[in-house]
Amino acid sequence: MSKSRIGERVYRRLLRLYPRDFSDDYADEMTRLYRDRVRGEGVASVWLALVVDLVSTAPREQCSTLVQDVRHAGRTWRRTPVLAVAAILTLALGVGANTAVFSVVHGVLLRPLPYPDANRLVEVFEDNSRAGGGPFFRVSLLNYLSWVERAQSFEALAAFNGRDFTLTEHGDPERVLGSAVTASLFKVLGVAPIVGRPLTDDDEKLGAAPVALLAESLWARAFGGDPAIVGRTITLNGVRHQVIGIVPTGFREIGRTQIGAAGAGQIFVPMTMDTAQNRGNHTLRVVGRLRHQVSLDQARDDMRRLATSMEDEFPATNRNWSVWIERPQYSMFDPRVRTSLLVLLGAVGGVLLIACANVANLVLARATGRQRELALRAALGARPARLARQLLTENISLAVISGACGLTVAGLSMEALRTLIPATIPRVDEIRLDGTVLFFGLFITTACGVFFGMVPALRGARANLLPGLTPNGKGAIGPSHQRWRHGLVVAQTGLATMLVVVAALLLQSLVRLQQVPLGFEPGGVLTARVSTPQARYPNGPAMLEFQRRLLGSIETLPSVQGVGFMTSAPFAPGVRRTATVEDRAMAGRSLEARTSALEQVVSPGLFRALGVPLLAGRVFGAQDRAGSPLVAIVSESLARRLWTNADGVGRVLEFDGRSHEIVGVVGDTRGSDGTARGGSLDRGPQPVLYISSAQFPQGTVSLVIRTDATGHAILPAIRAAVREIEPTLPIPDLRPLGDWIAESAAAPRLTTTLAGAFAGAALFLTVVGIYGVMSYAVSQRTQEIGVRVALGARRISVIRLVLRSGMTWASGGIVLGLIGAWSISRVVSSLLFDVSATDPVTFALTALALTVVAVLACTMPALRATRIDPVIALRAD
Amino acid sequence: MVSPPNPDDLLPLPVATFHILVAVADQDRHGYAIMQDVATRTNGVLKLSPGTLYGSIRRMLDEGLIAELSDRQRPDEDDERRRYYRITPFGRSVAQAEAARLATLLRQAKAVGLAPGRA
Repeated sequence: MSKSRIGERVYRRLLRLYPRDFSDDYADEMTRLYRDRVRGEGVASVWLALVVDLVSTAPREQCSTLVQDVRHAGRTWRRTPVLAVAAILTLALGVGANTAVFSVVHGVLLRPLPYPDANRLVEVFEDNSRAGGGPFFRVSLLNYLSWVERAQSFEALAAFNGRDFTLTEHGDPERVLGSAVTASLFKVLGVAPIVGRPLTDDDEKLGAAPVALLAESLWARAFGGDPAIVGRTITLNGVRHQVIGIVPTGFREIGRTQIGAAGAGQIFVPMTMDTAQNRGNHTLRVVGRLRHQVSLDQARDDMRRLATSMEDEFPATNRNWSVWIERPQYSMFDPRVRTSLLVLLGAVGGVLLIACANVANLVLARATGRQRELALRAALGARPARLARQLLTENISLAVISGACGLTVAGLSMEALRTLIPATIPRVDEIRLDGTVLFFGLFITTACGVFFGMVPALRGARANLLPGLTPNGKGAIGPSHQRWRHGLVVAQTGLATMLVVVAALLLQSLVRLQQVPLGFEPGGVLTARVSTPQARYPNGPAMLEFQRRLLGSIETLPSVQGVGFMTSAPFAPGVRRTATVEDRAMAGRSLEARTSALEQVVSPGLFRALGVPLLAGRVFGAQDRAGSPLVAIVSESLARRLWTNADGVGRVLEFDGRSHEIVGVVGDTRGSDGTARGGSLDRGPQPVLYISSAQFPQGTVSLVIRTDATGHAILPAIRAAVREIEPTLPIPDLRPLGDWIAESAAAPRLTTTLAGAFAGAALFLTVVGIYGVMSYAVSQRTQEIGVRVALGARRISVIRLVLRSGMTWASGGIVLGLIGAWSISRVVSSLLFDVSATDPVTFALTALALTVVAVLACTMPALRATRIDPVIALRAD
Repeated sequence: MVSPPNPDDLLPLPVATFHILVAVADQDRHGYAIMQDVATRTNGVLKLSPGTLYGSIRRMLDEGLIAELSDRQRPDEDDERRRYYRITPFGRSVAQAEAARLATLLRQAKAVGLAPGRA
C-alpha cells in the first residue's frame, strides 16, 4: 500500500472524532479533499494543518450537535408538559433525598477527620469481652502509663477525660464543658495552638501551677478574641488558672463518647498524673497516632501481646482484660449509627430506583406515542444511532433538570436536616453540601438519565419503520416493550416490599424499646448537674455540709416528694466509672468471685427519689457516716453475678482496696451502661455497686428530684432554692429525666421515621407505577377486549383478565422482595430490639398489604376495561 | 405556518460562511473548489480547513443558504461524483445583506479616518 493510501486511511479513522452523522455525511468528501490537497501541497504540510483542524473543529461540531439535540429535547418536552413535570418532580425528590442522606453519611462517616495524616489516628480501649463486658471500655491511668512505656506501634499516645468547669469571669457563672488532657494530645492530633503555647510534660506534674487552654469558639464568645488573654488568669471551679494558649476548633476530643450531648470541649487543662490509684479504675479515653508503616492489625496484635503480659503481671486488676483498637470514625459512634445510616442510604436508594422505574415507564409510554415521529424521521434518512442519541439526550436533559432541582432541594434542606439529627450523633456540624456530595448528586442524576433513557433510546432506535407509519401507528412497539414494563413492575414491587418490611420491623422495635421496663419511675423526676465549688468547700466534710443544705432547701419546696443525688443519673450524661469488685470469701467457689461493676456514689434519699425498689436489706441511713464501717448496696444483677441468688446482704466486697459490707440489694436500672453520654434503652441493666456519699464525698453529682408538679413550673423554685445556698452556682441540665430518656431513643426514632417515610414514598410510587403500566396495557389491548366484550364476555371476566396479568408480575415482585428482605436480615437485625429480623408475621402482613395495594392499583384500569365499547374499539382499526 | 426567514436575523455572518457564499455566488462548486477560490481571492491569507469548511456547509444547508446539487444537476465533466453546492435565493439575499452591512461599516470607518479613501 502506498504511503498516501495509508495516510488516507488514518485520516478516515480520525474523522470518527466528529459527530456520527457529520462523518457519515462528509467523510467521503473530506477524504477526497485530503487526496486533492496532498497532490497539491505535499503530505507533511497537509497533515500539520489537518491535526490543528481536527483538534479545533471536532469538539465544536460535537458541541453544536449536542446543542441541537438539547434544543430539540426542550421542544419535544414542551409538547408534553404534564408528563415532563411529573417526571421532573419524581426524580427531583429522589435525587434530593438521596443527596441529603448521602451528605449525612459523608459528613458523619466518610469524611476524614480534620487532622494531618488522620488515617494514622486510632482510639485505644480496654477490652473486657472475655468477661462479657464488651470491647469498648475506658482505660485505667496505670495501664495507660504502662502502654506509653512499652507499646511499640505508636508514635504517641494521649489520654483525656471530660470535665465540667464553672467559669466565673464576668457576671453569671457559666458551666463550660472541657477536658483534662495529656500534653501528648497535641502531638497525637498534630494540631498546634493558634495563639500561645501547647501543654508540656511539666504542666502534668503534681503541684504544677494551674494552666488552661481555651477553644477558639469560647475565646471568641467570652473574651472577644483578644490575644492578650494569653498570660492572664481566669477562674475555673473557683481556682485561678493561667491561660497559656488558644486551640483551633479542630482540636477536640475524638472518639467514642463525649461529656455532654454533642459538646466538644471548650477548656483544656493538663491531666495531672496521680499514680496513687487502682489499676482497675477505668476512667480515661486514649487516642494514639500509629507509627508510619504500622497497620491497624499490627497495632492490635502488638497491644494484645502487651495486654497478655500485663495480665500475668497484674492479675488482680488485669485478668480477662485485653486491648481493642479502632479508627475514631468507627469508634466514635455506636456501631448501630453506622448501620442505620447505611440502611437509610439503601432505603433512599431504593426509592430512587423505584422513581426511575416510574419515569422509565412514562418515557416508554411517550416513546410509543412518538413512533410515528421517529419512523418518519428514520424514513427521511435519520440514522438509528442519531435517533438513539437524540432520545438519550432528551432523557438525560430531563434528568439534569431534575438533578438541579433535587440538589437545590437538598441544599435548602441541609439546615433542617442538621437540626433533625439527634445531638448524640457526633460530627453533625460537618454535614454540608461539599464537592463530594455534589459529585454524588450529579453522578446519580446522570446514572438515572442513562438508566431510564437507555431503554427507550435503544428501542426507539431499532423501531421498525413500516408499522410506525400505518394510520394507528401501534405496531412498532410490541412485546419487547411490554417485557420491559413488566420487568419494571417486578423490580418496583420487590423494592417496595423490602422497604416496607424493614420499616415495619424498625417500627415494632421502636415500640418495644419504649415499653422496656426501666427499673425506676421516671415520671415527675427532674435531674440537674451540680458541682460543689471547690474553692469554698475544699474538703469532704465541707462538701457534705454543702450538699446536705442543698438537699434540705430543695426538699422543703412544696410539691417536692423526694430528693437525692448520685454520681450520674440514668440516661443523662455524666461520669461513669467501672471498678472491679471481689468477694474474697467466694474465691475458688464461684467463677465470678471477681467482676466489674459500675460505681455510683449516692445520697440516702436517692432510691426513693428515683423510684428504685429495695429488694433486700436496707438503704443508706444516718448511721453510715465517715468513720463508721464501710457499707455498700448492690444491684440485683451484681448480686446474681456474684452469689447466683439475689441475696447478698451481710457479705463483704473488696473494692478499691477496701472492704465494704453489703447492707442492701436494689432493683436493676437501665440507662447506666458505662458510657459518659448516657445510657441507651436497648442495653440491659449493668451491675451497679452503690456506695454512700457520706463515706465517699463526691464534688460533682446529678441531683434527682421527684415532684408532683406538672411541666416546668417548679424549675424557677428549684433554681431559687439553690441560689439561696450558693448564689454563684450554675445548675446546668436542669430538666425532666424523661427528656434524657427520649433523647437516648432519638436515633432509632429518626431512623424509623425516615425508613417509614421512604417506605411510604416507595409504596406510593409503586402504586403509581403499577397503575400506569396496567392503564397502558389496557389501552394497548382495547381491541382484544372489545372483541371479547362483543363475543359476550362478562364484566367480571374482563376485570379478572386485567387483574390476572397485573398481579402475576406484582406477586412475582412481592416474592422477590420478601427474599431480598430476608437476605439483608443480618444487617437489619443489629438495629432491632426484641424483634426478629425475619419475623414471619411482619413478612406475611407486608406481603398481604402489598398484594392489597397492587390489586387496588390494578382495579381502576380493570374497571376502565369493562367500559370499553366494542363498537368503538373495533372501528378504531 | 412558519413565517419566511428574515435575512437580517443571520447577521453578522461568520467569516467562513460569507466567503463560502461569495465562492458559490457565480457558479456551483464542490468543497475543494470553494477552498481554492477562497484562498485565491484572499491571496492565500484565508485557508479554510476541512473541518471548518464542512462544518459551515452543514449549518448553511440547515439554514437554507445553499443547496446540494442532485446527481442530474452536476456538471458533466466531473467523474469523481463530488458533491456540488449552489447558492439559494435566500442565501443570495443574506449575502447581499451582509455585504451592505460591511459596506456601511467601511463607510463609517472611512469617515473617522480608520480606512483609506473618502466617506
